[in-house]
Amino acid sequence: MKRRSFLGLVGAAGLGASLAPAAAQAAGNTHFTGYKDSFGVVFDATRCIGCRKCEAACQKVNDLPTPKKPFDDLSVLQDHRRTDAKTYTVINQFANPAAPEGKTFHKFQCNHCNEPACASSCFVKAFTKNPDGSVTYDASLCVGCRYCMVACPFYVPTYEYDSALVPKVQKCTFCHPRLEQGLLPGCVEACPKEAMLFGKREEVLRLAWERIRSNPGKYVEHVYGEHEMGGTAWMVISPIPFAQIGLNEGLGVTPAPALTAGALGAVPIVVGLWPVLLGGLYGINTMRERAVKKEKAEAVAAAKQETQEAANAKLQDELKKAEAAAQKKMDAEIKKAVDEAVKAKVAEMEAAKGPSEGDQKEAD
Amino acid sequence: MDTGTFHTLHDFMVHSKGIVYIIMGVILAGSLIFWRFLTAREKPIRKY
Amino acid sequence: MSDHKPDVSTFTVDPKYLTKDGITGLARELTTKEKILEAARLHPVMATLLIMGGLATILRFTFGLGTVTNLDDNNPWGIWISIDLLCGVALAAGGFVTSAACYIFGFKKFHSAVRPAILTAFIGYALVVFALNYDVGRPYRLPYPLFWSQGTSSLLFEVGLCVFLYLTVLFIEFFPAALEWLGLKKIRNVVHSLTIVLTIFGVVLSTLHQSSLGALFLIAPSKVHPLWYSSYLPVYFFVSAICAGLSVVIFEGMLSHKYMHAKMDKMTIEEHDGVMFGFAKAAAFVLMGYFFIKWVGVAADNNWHYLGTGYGAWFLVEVIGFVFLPAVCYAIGYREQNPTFVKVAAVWTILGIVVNRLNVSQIAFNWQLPSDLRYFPHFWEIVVTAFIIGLHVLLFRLIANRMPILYTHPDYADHDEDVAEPAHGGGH
Repeated sequence: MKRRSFLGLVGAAGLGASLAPAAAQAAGNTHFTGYKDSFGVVFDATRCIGCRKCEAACQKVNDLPTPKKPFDDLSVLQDHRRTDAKTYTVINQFANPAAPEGKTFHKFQCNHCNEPACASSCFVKAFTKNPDGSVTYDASLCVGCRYCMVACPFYVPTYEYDSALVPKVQKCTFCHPRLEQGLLPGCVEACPKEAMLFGKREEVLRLAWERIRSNPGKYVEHVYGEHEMGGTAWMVISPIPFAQIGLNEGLGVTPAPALTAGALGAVPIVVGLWPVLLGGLYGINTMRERAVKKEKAEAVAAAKQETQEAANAKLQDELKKAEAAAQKKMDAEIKKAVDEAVKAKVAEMEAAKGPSEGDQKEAD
Repeated sequence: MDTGTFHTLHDFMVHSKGIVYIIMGVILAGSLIFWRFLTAREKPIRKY
Repeated sequence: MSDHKPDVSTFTVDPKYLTKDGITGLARELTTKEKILEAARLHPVMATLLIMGGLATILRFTFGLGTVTNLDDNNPWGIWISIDLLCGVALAAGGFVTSAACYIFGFKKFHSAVRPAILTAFIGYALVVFALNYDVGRPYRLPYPLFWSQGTSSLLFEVGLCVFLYLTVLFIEFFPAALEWLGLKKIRNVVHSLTIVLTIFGVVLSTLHQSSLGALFLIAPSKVHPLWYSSYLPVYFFVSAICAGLSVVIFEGMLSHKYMHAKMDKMTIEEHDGVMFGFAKAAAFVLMGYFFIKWVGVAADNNWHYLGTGYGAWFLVEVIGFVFLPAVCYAIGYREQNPTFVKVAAVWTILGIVVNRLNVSQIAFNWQLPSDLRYFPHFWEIVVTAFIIGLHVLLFRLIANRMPILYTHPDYADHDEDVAEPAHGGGH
């Protein structure tokens, strides 16, 4: 029963990434290509200058709390920061000796996966992949289990740990409300260097590759996010290896739902077959028990009968013996009585021969 | 099933697994009912 | 429980329920109401733990997780998940293992072990759910996944559904003991006739959620160290949970024997060694199987080269030190019929399960993060976890001291017959 699950899961371990989706969609050879015309962004690390204007815009359009250090304080770039419940995006600085100023920047925010791990892991469907490409969160459903944070390969979802009873998960929304109004995401709009290429995902991906090809040596020949975890809406092109700007290059290309599909697929089989196997085992055991019981009962009955018969025979025997003994005794009694009678008669006769013969006769 | 209405594997799985969960409930109830039907006549024999 | 009664293996009414009538001065049995009041009495030894736990509870629900835990955005799950949930559920596997062995596999001589095991499991699962109320942000929404918005693609949904259903099953399985205690014979017999169905449901649900707890981590291949991340994770969790369940039954029997001997009837005491060695044999063999399949996982993902690293050494410690060696210890204990070896192996295996669950969910999780970003439990997290364990002991003793758990209630001595015959699929 587990075999099927293994087929789906083996790929998850990174053995053969292509095997997993095939097994996951066992319903048919279906392939999901995502929402057509969904938006995407390519962050070009060669263009970013680390001015933090995008961070400021993000805080403004999302009504986030004002941070302690103002956005024009660039000293924070030295620390390796991450987003938190009050920040949806951060710029981090990395050393790059080849760059004019010796540094390259990376903008961190939700990557809006084509197949979001957060959505796949959420047990109340609080996350939605929208047709515009954004992945949004519905706080009215959230239980606060934080499995989305465990699941996300990019460490994106954050949590309001200071709220005792109504904590929310927080993350970049791709400015979903603004996209619906036909506006650009806050950060994209604010960028003075056009470091973020916004458009239809297919289109920006094509443009990203064009940049890579038409500028040999300027970029690593890879668009980070084109295939990672099944592809993301936000992608990165970089002048230095992605690991050097804080990105995990070992994510694989298997989309999150495919990673769990095998285990989920095994569930109904267990439900279907366990009762059969266990019921069968129980049946076998009761049957054997019944057979044992029956045998025992039969053996007991047979033994009983035997004993009974033996007892009967013995009884008959005893009876016969007793009868014989009684007969013998009776015979002896009779004999004794007869003997006595005979003796008496003889004595009488002898007496009658004597002088008082006449008296004797009267007495009779 | 028409998978054309689903754009993502995730949506597809939420939908299909939802139905599978309902089937699982039916399986549990159904196997119980069927087992009782299967063994209902055994009872008289079981007294010995 | 402090006032231990002499051995009462042949009593008809638990002496605990006898009281002197205030008016007549004659001994009489407690009424149902009095029994309930008596059960609510607290044991003083637990007081400190309860006070600390209460304090932690107040802090958690007034200041939030940020105050009482070391959790952060990189480490969303701490020991409340690793110990209270993952270990708690694994160690509560004794319930389904014992009832399956007795009722389905036909090991009737384990019968006296069923009720304590069911009780341990029932309290265990109830406390797992209780502990989750501390961990999740909005505990009042815990029914949401079941009744409001079903995220069927999530393995956590699977876990939640199964734990909820299994808790219900355990409650019904445990119910006869409470009903016997309260003297409600008729309902008790109806519930008791469901034994086989409940046992099968219990095994199905346990298989699913024990394995799904392992499968929770399948979605994060990039975060769990390759030696622990495996497509076989669900199988590993399920098989190791069986070992845990068997060991906990032995461990629990060992403690009950030591501290609650007076509560046991003749059958429980006489069967005890049989249960212990029977379970030791089973645990030895299952552990050995688990040991073998752990290597299948390493081979399947070709992770041999990791064995030379620090994590590899730690993996070897777990697999050899906490799987292979306890298996051998069990085997020696069984072969030599030596209770000491068996008891040591039981504790060893339980520790091994804790080590494994901590490894998967903490030590091997986020292994690529720099050490200053890694998680270590906060003082109050440890307090709450200790509080939960304390509650378990307290509840077990409260119930087992009153209800017919370690002995067969004299009015219901028909257990075996009842169960062997009845259920053919259910009450009839």
